[in-house]
Amino acid sequence: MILLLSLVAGCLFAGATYFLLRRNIMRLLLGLILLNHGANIVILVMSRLERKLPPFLSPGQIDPSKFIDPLPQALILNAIVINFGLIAFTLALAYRTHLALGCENLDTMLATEQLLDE
Amino acid sequence: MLALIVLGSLLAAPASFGLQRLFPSLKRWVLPIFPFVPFTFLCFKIPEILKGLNLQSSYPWNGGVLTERYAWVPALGLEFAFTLDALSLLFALIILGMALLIVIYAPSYFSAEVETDAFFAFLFSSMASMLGLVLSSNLFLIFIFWELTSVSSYFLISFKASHLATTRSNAQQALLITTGGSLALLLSLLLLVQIMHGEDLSANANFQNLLYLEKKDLTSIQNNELYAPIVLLFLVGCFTKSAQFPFHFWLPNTMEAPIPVSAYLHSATMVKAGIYLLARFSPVLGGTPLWQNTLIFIGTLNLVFGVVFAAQQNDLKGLLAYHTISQLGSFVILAGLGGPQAAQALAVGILAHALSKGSLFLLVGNLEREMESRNLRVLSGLRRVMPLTATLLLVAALSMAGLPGTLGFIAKELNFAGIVANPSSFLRYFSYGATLLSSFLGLFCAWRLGKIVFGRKLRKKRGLPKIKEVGITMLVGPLLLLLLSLGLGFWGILENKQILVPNITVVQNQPAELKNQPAGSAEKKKEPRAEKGKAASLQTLQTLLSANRVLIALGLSWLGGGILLFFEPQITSSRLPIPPWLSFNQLYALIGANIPHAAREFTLLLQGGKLRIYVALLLMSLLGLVSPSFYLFVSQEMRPLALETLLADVRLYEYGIIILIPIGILVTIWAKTTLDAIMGVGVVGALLALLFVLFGAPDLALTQLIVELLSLVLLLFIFSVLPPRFEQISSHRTRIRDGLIALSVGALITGLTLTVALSPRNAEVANHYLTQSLPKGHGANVVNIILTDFRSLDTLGEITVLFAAMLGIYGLLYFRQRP
Amino acid sequence: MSNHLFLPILTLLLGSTLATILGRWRRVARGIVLLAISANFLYSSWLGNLIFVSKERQFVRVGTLIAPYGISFIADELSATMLFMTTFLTLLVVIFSFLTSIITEQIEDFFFYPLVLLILLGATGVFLTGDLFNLYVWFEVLLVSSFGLLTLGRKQIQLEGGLKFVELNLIGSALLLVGCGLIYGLVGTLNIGQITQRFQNLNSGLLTVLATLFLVAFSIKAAIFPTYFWLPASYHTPPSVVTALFAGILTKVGMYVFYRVFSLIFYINLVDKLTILLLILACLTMIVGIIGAIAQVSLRRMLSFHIICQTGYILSGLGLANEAGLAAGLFFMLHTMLVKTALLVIGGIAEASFGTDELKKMGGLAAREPLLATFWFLAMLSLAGFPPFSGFIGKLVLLKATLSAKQYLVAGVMAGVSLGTLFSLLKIWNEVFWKTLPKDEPEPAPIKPYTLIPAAILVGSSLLLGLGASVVLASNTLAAKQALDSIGYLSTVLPDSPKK
Repeated sequence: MILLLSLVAGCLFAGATYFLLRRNIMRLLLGLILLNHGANIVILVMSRLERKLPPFLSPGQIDPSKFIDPLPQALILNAIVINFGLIAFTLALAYRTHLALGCENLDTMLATEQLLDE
Repeated sequence: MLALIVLGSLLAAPASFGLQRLFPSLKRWVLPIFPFVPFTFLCFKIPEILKGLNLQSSYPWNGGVLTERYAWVPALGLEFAFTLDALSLLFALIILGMALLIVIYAPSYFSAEVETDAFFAFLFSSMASMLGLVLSSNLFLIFIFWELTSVSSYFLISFKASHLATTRSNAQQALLITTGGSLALLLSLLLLVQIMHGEDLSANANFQNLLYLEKKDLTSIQNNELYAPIVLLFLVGCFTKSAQFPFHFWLPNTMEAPIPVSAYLHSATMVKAGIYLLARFSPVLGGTPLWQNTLIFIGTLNLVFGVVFAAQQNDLKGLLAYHTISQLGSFVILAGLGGPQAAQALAVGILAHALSKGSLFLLVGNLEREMESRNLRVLSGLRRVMPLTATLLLVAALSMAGLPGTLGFIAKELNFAGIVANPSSFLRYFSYGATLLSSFLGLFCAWRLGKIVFGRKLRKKRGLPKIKEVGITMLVGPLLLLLLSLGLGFWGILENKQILVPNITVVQNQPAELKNQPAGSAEKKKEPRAEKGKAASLQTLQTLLSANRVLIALGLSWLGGGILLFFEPQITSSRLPIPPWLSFNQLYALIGANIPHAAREFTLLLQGGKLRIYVALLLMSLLGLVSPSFYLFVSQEMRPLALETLLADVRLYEYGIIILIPIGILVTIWAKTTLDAIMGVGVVGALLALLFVLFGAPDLALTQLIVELLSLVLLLFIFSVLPPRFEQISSHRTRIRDGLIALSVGALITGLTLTVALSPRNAEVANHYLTQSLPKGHGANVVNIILTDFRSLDTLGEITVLFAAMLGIYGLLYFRQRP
Repeated sequence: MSNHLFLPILTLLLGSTLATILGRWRRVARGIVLLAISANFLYSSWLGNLIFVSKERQFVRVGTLIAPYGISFIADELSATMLFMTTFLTLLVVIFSFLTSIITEQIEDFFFYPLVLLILLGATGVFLTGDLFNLYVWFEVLLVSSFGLLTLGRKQIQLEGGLKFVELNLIGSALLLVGCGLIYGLVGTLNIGQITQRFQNLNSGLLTVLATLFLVAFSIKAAIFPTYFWLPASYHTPPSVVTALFAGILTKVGMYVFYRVFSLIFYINLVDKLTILLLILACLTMIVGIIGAIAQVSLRRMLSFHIICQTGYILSGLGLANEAGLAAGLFFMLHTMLVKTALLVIGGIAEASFGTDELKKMGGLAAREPLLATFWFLAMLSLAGFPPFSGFIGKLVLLKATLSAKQYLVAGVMAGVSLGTLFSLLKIWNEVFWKTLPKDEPEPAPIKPYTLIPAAILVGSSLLLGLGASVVLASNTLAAKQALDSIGYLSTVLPDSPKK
């Protein structure tokens, strides 16, 4: 299972990378979303994906070796929410940029690097 | 007390500025006080310093009399340490004295409408930095003042003309070249201190420590592998400052600077700093073939070419500028030769040059002001219109020529004496020849100067005021300087060249005996033959020979210079056959013009503006840095993957779910419409939520679903304003390239994740959370407890991120700029 | 257990929320913001002094769990120094924004000051935390607040620059997240001290690979070659106050993290294998930065490239991988924070006066505003490394450390780039201050003298830093010593036995 999910993480990163290299704003956004998914899967794999019980304790049962590692789950949760905040901002930014510039081709956005003539 | 002098001069700059604003009428009386007070103080120190002189040594001014030390940054070896010895006293007196005379001269020089307040501030800051330079005994402190001289000169050079682009660029050129040299000097000093540390010497970077080095320590420094770079970097520093080839070209370009500035820069500050440093460091760095040969070679180049260019100049200031370069070249030669005579010659030469150049520049200023011309071909008949200036100019020219009775004569004598005293016969002949050659042209220049005095009266253009003599304030400076030169010159001859200047004694052996010479044997010039006889009984044979060599040289140069005067038109109009690529001035201009352009092209290459290029470069650096280390460091440790065991526990339906994810990604990539792409990402997100369920993370799955839903909604919101179909813009080649990068990144991540996941797991922390969740956190859902209790700070941060994002989004969506 | 370490987080959180809620009453909001930052400044000075005198790290655990199971805050001289300088600069920049009208009222209404406080909060969290994932979280706080500040005002060029800034930094964040996850997977803990301990016992090449991954992630954050592109693309787009704030804080937090992680967690890998790599990257950063600066014709773009160039110097301090190098790099970082902010503040005043930041449209400012010109020239001297300013001491101490480590090529690059810095700064001096105003350009607006106060304070601080370098270097050496002393770090973090 570790192998398969590692491959999944790799696929997600590959897809995300491909999108990040595109010119279209929308593809860029999708790429960022996939990137975060990929990072989350990597963390998930760190729990070694053992077939154990989900981390819900009952008063009698406190043998830790029977439960799956809870920490990666907490980390991923955190990461999902944080990345959501970031993506939301990016979406708003893309929206505004498109409204202001009227196009979504990133290759045309060169104003920030224009070296004015001497 | 020394520190006080330095500090006082540093404060003099702003103080004088303030004073001029507050009491404009008292300017003339108050300003001279600033240089005058330290000057007189130092004069009183003269006798004391003289006692410390050791004329037998090739470093006559050893150690020093006054020393003060205050800590600054002990960890770096940097401290405020000041020392007064003969060399620094000589320089300090020149610096302060010239400042005093210029302060008197300048107000009359500048016409009334020029605001001179800033000028004096800059002058004093230049004075202060030079003063600090010569009085410091800590290596880094010396460097600090060295840099400050560059800065103050920058302002002095561009004074009154900073609105002109040419002035700005010339001042900048001087600053950049000297700063480049300073950097070389800094590296050299750091390396020197490092070597010293290595030799287990005192941690302080004072040159006092350098001076008292034992012979074996000195040799170990000179044999160190870093010695050559140290010397070369050091020399670069000195040569840039003292305008020696190949860094000479900035000095003639400063001709537009006002006369007082040129006078000060040439005679007292800036260019003299390099020579000072050469003299200072000669005991440590000198004596080796590298030092000697480099200095003599470069010095000769400057000596000869400087005077050649000077001879060709028609502009008075240009002539003086190139002549200075030539003179400095002779000092460099002397520093390279080494030995007691050369050292003494250096000191006297510096003083003589200061007196003569200083007075010449001031006199040229007088000329310029009244006759409005500096052209040597035009000026003539000075004695008729400006008799006082003319007389002084004549005397100055004679001093430059080395008339006996002036300090110039003494300096030339000592120069030749220093040359002939050198043990190496090759160096002797070489330097002697070069000096002789240059003195022909040098005297030619002197005669040209003198010629101005005589001749037909110059008629000024109509409409301009009549030429008249300048006021006393513009004459007092040159007058005093030339009087000093004459006085010292005569005194030197009278004393048979003993103790002529308060700092130097020349004769090597039996000083006491020679002191009591009858006056009759003094005048060498008049009776060479009689002198021979007396000399034989009084002096050593070598001195006799050298004295004759000196006289021959002087006589020849007087004659030669006079002959050349007849060829004046030919000389001034001819041009040396120097190929253009050798002209460093042009080289500098070429570089200066092209650097911004080249920089622009280079920057546009990398920082072109296309975001995907940036991303591509970023990802390629990720691949380039991480993959090789992966290959190098991990591949040996890897064991072959046992596919069977890895896939042993996978259930069939799990295969199904997992294979859908890459399919979803591919669908998104190949989607033709925006909606399809968004749906593809949504599907991938949902599948991931399913995965979370499969691996015991129900909370996670819930969160993932909710967040995915929200993201989809937002994406659709944007979708509503974007065109529905994607345009296929990228070329096939680009796609393939991007695909390759993507696959590589994916492979890297897979490899990393797999490698880490296959390593043994340390469950200590996780177990702790599991066991403590109920007792400490009072909850059964461990993930919840982690988020809300054990690692609640993370959650706080997470919420803050949302808060900040909200503020940013609000600004993005609703910002209204009121008109 | 030093509970006072919570103070900055609390005040900044409280301040930002209050300032948001009370945003409608501008004076009240401004007062709250000023109060919060000043309180932090005073606290950080006190903390710095405490650590310097006692030579001990300050430590507190957050939450009920004992270390290393919970998150902990730990402050040593390095964190305290960075905290001090960051709060100092934020304070001055905020006062500067109060005194000038560069931050218009509209911008202020849209939560400018709360975002400033949030940036400071993120930075503070990064400096004080002892947990790796917590570091990531605070970094994200910093990042998202900077997103907001960058785009506030919503000009077209801000949006474009914002897009580039956001995308490249998000990739960096993702890489950092992956790195954190991988480290957890390898050693099962997120406490920095415990990670260090377990890494020291682990002998695997995998550590070097992880080190390079973190290197790339931090290079993105700190704008090092070859991942620096977002900085020149975006820093010059928002109002100059924001640029001044970013210059002093954003990349420097990235450099702090570089120093912290590589002196503690990955130190062995650094010394063994990564020194040359870091030094090469540092040299390339310096060179690319200065070439970029020389190429520019507008004020703020040139100053943005200088930031990259200076960061190269700081990285080379780390690359030397010894105590002297770290101390030198830290001193240089402090110096560059001060001087770059000074230059941007002065540049901001000039830009507001002329209404443009293109060099060819400006001119003659030295004659009109001699005081401003003086401050600029002094700041310029400091950046170019002239004595007696902090730039000279910084250059001296860094060159000394580099030459002692026999890295002669690096020293040569440093010297050459220093000359280039002077060259590019002289261009601004010539164009803005010295040359006369071109005939067809409008006259600049007069500058009120009180707007020069923050600039004066900054330039004066640079001078003070130079003259008082002895004390500061002692502090930096202590910081370097403590940063490299993993045993000391561990004994502070894990004093209680794991069993409870």
